[in-house]
Amino acid sequence: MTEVTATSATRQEERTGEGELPGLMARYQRGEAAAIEELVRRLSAPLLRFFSFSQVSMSEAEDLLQDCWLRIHRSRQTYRASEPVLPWIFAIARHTRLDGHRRRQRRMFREVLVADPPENPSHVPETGGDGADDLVDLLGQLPESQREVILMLKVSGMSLEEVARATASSVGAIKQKAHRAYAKLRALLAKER
Amino acid sequence: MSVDAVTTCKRIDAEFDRRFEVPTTEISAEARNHLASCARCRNLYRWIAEQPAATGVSSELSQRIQSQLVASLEPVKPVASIQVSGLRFMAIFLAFAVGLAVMMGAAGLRQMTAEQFLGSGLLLAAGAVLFSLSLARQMAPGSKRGIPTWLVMALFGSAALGGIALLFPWRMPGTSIGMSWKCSLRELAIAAPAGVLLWLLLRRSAPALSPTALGASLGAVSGLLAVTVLQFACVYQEALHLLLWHWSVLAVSSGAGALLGRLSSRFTLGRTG
Repeated sequence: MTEVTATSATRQEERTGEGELPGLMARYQRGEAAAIEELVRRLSAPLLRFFSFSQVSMSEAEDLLQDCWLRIHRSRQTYRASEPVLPWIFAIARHTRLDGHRRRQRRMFREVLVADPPENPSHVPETGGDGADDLVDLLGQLPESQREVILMLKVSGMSLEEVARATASSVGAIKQKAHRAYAKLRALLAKER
Repeated sequence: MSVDAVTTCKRIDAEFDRRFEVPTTEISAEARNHLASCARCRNLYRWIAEQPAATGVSSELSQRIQSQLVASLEPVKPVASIQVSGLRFMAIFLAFAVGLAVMMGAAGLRQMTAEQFLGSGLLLAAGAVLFSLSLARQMAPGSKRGIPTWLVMALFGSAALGGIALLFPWRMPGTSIGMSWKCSLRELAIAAPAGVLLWLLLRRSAPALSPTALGASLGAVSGLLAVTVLQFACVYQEALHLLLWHWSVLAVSSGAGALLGRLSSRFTLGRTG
């Protein structure tokens, strides 16, 4: 139980300093290098976690992270100072992830056309053991829309309101997806253990 | 497992469900006691409460990203609020519509009754407002949810179909198919360049948006502009003619926009994949 309390504290620590993000974004839009360096330092970890739990290898997750930052950079003028930063960032990350998924599928399709099918076509996540692999496997059994919601809620630690904004959805719809996903995960966990 | 234990497990599940909504909520003393004795619930709770293993970003990767971004860093002007952007789109729409109407004439106005003029005018204005706001919302990733693009189109399409069917007479069109077809061609000749112009205006926000939805909205706005101009320029004010040869262009331009958006995203993926 002490472990559990400690991990909750880690999540809390990660969320502190969120109030400074709009200020950093405004400075980034004004062209201050220090602001973008600080944003990359603060937001890369939750973004990488979001990508790495999407059934991709760590090197692919890092590629997605770089691609995502480039998209953020190209769209930085679309951030409005009155809006929260995380939903804006994760709305872009979501598109990066989906495009990455489509690109992977196209590449796999081409490879299958020109060569023998790979022995194991699935991507092996390198999440470093300690239960993270279990989580990737479990999430892999959810439908895409539910997996995305769980990734944002649990893996990236966002609130329901933030997830709703990032996915252009309503809080009610996110709650419903989370509950359905959670019920399925509960059944899977209960079966496994 | 006893009946009592199953009941408690169900109550714990309900408590975990609530915890999913508010992750920082503390669990009750009763739940804590239950966790001490039930391995199944303990595992579930650990899974929910634990932060997944932290995925660290190497300093090398972090520096690479930072230097890439800093190298092309320039001040940018933030886009206007959704309301202001929406108003801008409406103003552009109105300016184009008035300009083109002046160029093409308003012979259709003389054929309309006051009800028909007011009804179709309201319908077109409502479409301009809805599509402008939909476009403006798409320029802001992560903003509060509005009505989804497909729903805006479906609602407006139904309203237009009903409105035109009620307002205008159902008699045989006073023109041949060959002449009617020219109305559609004229509309397409207006919609296509208008769509390109709008796309050029929106391009700066495009990278983060859904290309299919953006294309559909652009197609809808440009199609509506063409419908507006021809609504007042065409002398054949019959419901069948208007729906078949005028308003159908709105559906065609929206579909073409969505298709082009989808193709553009495929092209981008193909280039980077």
